[in-house]
Amino acid sequence: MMNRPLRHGARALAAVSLVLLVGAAEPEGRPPPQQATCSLPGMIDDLRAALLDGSPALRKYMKLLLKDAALSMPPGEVRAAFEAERDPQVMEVLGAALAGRASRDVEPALVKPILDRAQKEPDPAHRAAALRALRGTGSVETMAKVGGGSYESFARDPSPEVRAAAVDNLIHESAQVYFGHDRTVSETAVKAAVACPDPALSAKLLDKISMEQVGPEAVRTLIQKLGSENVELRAAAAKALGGVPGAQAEGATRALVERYRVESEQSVRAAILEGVVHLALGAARPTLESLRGIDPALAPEIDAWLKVLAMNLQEWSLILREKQRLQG
Amino acid sequence: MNNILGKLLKIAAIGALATLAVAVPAPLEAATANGPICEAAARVGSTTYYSCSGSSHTALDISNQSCSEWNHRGMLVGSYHYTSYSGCANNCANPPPNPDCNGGAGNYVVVTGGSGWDFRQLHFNTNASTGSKTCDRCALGLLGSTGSSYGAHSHSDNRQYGTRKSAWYANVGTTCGSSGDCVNRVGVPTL
Repeated sequence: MMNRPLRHGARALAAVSLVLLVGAAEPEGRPPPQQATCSLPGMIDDLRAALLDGSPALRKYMKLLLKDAALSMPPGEVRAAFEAERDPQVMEVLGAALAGRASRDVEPALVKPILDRAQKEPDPAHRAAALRALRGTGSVETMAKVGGGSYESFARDPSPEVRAAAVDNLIHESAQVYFGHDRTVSETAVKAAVACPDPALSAKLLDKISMEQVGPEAVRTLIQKLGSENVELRAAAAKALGGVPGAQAEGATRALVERYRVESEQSVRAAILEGVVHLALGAARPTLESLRGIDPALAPEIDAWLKVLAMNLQEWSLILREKQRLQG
Repeated sequence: MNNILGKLLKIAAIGALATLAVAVPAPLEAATANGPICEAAARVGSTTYYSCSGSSHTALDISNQSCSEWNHRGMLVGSYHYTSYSGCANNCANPPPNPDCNGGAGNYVVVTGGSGWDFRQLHFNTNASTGSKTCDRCALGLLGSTGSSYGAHSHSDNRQYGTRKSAWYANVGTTCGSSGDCVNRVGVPTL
């Protein structure tokens, strides 16, 4: 007997005009699958069923299938389906399909309904789903072009779910769309981290976002966060300062060293050492030596950094990995 | 007893590796690249060697035997930032009148990844919509022959620190004669 996920898969394949020949395997009395034309309502039904009891692989497949099929559907039909949808999971997929279409056609206005729901839906699950629909697109740029919504405001949403969606979107966009090279996304993330009332989320944002292109204002914000009451946030700010551009390196190093001298938490001091090394690499040796006497408990950490720097590794990722291996 | 100890050590080692995997920076991404031309007639003409038997090339050349007729689309599936370098006069001539424009690349776009990796699409003609953009397989220009190019085609390459790599198309079986249609996967570039 054909199980339910497989049936969904077969219908999905039919939806993209492929005929699945399984008649030989069908028990008597059950009609074989029929070829079907691609229709959005049919695909949404299949998606809904897959989300209900399909395997993770089938759910992923159905989401991608709908997103790709939407590239050739009338945008108005996809938009209407998104606006009418109440199930957050289905809503997110339809929103992602609409955002994908907007990205392909370079039509940012298509994203407006998604932003509207992300801001105005009374149910936080709907607001979060709409926001997640923008993940993996150039959403920061789109928000600026379309108006209506900013990550700063989403990061201070009363719902933790919406705030988490905003943070995850920014991390994903910085790393996967721009590979850390976009100044606007990085600076938007810093502003969102300041706006977010949840220190753990702010710390996550600062820890994961590339700072390679940020300007002096963002660096000043990071330096301020070095004095945060929250330990996690101070450590994240220290690591983030390690990634700022060369033009900002001198001020960042000075702020890190000053903080190291008065800092009480070892985890933050360790993060500061990482920031100092990241900023100057091999040239950080004198600074590391100058900090050795402040906290004897951090001497092994300083020794590990000096040992790794002596290896003359050329990339930060390799330096980090070797440091972790040494202390493994 | 030794067997049990060995298994425990293995589990501990796997656990340690898993911890390390979480802690190190994000790995490089393998993207999916489809053909740049939305026409069934689009075909791969050159891969590791020009015309698959000439001198070294280490990139894909894809054409549909037309010039300035069809939009030259971003090949990467998903939203990426394409930085545009243009300024070369549109050209369908053979040989090119200005082979040195943009170092021979002609009008081109580049997606800059991490650790020195990038993905480029070269030689296209420009139109009013050409420019840097963040998009998913959007129109970037018109198929052309700008820069050091003989005949209108799309040249795509995946480089690390400026050195072209071949695994991204060779490992998925793309070779001369393969489809270069935008619905067909031609490679998995690293970014």
